[in-house]
Amino acid sequence: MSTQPESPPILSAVSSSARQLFLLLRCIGFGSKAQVQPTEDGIRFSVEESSVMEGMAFLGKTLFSSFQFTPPQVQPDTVDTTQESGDVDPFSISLAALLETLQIFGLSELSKPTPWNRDPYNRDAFSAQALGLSGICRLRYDSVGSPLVIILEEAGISTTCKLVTYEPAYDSDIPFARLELGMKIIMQASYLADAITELSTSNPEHLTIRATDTFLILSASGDHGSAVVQFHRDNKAVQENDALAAGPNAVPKRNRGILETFQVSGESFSQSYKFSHISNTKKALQSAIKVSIRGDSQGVLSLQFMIENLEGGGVSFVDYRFIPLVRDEGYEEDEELGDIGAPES
Amino acid sequence: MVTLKFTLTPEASASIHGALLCLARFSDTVSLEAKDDSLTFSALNLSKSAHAAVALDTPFFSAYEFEAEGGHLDSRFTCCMSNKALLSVFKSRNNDAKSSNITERCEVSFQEDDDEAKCRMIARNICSNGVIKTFRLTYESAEIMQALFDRDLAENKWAIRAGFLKENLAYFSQKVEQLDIFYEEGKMTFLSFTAKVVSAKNGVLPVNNHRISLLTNAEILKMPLKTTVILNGGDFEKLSVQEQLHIVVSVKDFRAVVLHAESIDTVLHAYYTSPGRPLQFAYNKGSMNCQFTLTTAGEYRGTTIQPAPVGAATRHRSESERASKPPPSRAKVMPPPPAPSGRRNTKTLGKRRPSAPDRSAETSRDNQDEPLFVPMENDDRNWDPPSYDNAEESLGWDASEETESLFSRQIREQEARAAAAATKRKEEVPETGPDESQEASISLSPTQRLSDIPRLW
Repeated sequence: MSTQPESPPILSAVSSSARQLFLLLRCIGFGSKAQVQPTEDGIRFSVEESSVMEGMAFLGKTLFSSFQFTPPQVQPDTVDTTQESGDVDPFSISLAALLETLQIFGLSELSKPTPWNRDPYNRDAFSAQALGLSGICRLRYDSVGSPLVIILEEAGISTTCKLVTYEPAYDSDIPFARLELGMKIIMQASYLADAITELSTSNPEHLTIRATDTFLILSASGDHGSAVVQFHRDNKAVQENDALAAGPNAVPKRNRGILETFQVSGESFSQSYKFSHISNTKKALQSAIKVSIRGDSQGVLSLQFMIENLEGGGVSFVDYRFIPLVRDEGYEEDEELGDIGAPES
Repeated sequence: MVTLKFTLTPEASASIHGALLCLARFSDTVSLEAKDDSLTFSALNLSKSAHAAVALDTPFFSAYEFEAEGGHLDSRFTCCMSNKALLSVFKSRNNDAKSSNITERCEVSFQEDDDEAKCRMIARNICSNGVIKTFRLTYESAEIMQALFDRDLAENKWAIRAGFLKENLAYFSQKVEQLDIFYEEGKMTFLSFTAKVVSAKNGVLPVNNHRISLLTNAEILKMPLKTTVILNGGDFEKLSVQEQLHIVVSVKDFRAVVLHAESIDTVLHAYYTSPGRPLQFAYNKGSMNCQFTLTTAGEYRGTTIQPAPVGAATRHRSESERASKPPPSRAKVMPPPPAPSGRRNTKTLGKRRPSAPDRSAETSRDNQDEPLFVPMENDDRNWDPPSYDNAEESLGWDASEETESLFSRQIREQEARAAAAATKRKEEVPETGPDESQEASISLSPTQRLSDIPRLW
């Protein structure tokens, strides 16, 4: 390309916590190559697997203490005319190498003393740790085609890593029709994590997600049998069920349950996904506070995890998209699911 | 149509999980036996040298309902399933303080229907916040085997707090295989050792009265470390053991038992008579009764008995050597067994099963059903198993499971029995003949009849 050497780098960002970046990028660590798209508001990393699963982590501007994005001047002879001005071509890097780099000093938190530095008197107010100077991470991307430079500094040691950038391996995300949602459920991530853990014990092949007007049902079947986790949209489902069993005159209470948002358009939403893909999200499941589960009219599943930042408040988001399995593939258990919703009818 | 339903509190669910973890050390599959008043989880290891059973009485459950096919009073329902699958159902979920997802109760029911092709155990874990986790596990109707053991006949008994034993268990190396337990001068000794030799050129070691000198022989031991833990008699809650009686069990089994007993903080009881006969570890906590019946080896090293026990010497004998031995004639000296006394009633009542086969056929059959207990004789040392790791001869479970019609099964059983008796004869005969006349006078009373073994079809 025709970037002059004296022109400012496309991207120059400084973060005081490599750990923070690591924790977010770890969530999409299921693939080896990540596609990077620097933008005005942050850096977007995306990873895909077999074109049916995609994970995206967005490192927002706020995660960095300084963030400068200078898009190269669009040359008149640029072939790519569809590109809007102010955009940079995405590039791809080895995600495994990036993750390795970010934890090159280990993942020790500030408060955690290293075993060889137990002396409490040795840490004065001007130590690197106390000043928050430890673990400074600089990212630089000079020009299109140049390596992504990562400089990590800790306690006077600085490490410079240059990651080769590649042409992007794919050029479009899995399409997700935001305006044609089949379901939208927001819940605490720990509940979903718990459910996925329960289901994974049977070592299943598929995961079926089913949402009716009252239930969210996750089910999976394996060699030893099947497991179903059922969330009721109302908190008092159990009491209601008991009351229904006790007598018909019990008044059902409509409490807000553990599902904070529960919208199902149409009769129900029911799709199957590959379980191993869903369980790729487990790092995000563990660290997230909330998860938004959305499915569009085509059955594409979007899991959006809200992860609290380590410092300075705020949240970051990690997104996943899954393409559903063709129907009739994961539907053997349908008749077993049938009786679950029975108490409600 | 069998009805089996029970409900568990989270604590009960967690203790089942603990018990299943313990059973998992014995076998991958776990057998369930439901009766009117109890539910038993049991496991038999592959070599059939150890049988573990955890019986839960009805107070253990918040609700328990069992109704067998036909509504017989003493009926049972048996099945077996994968331990791993069960573990995922009964795991303790409330230890995570961060999660507000607290399980309130676990409802288990069995879907046993002749019309349905699928056998399912349905477990519903109901959480306080309305989440319902439903597990449907496949199970298999199966006949289960039981180890019968009469504690009243056991001469040697001791009981000790499991926690105390566990502390000392830590001294045994992880790889060690055998544990010799004996009582001497008011002290109980637990000696762990491994008898495996790396270069076993001459399989049979010189017989010596002391295993210690045996092991320090020129042979290269695979695991030369031995650990001795000596406990004072005073540390035991109960101790009534014959001096110098060495009883050898597997460390792995012993460890599994002690660890589980310790986890529920109870007193471990041991019952045994003599080497070569089964040993039982038992303990209970509330409505949970655990019994572990293990094969033993070892010898009596007191002064009153003649030397040259076969057991110790043949421990290193290889399979081929054993197989090449001339077939002896023990079966003919086995008289028809008298009706055994004091054993558990294990009558079956599986579904679609005709009533128990006629008793007349039983006398000829019982040769195979080796008794767990032989009437006390002064010297029954010739019952010592010739091989350490071949446990079948001392613990007599009927391994002949068939799923055919009763008639063809009986025929098959007769044949199998004859074959089994022949091999057994091979294995069990003592090497020397001085005891032969005495042996002929031994009358055996088996403790388990073939007809007692549950049959489901």
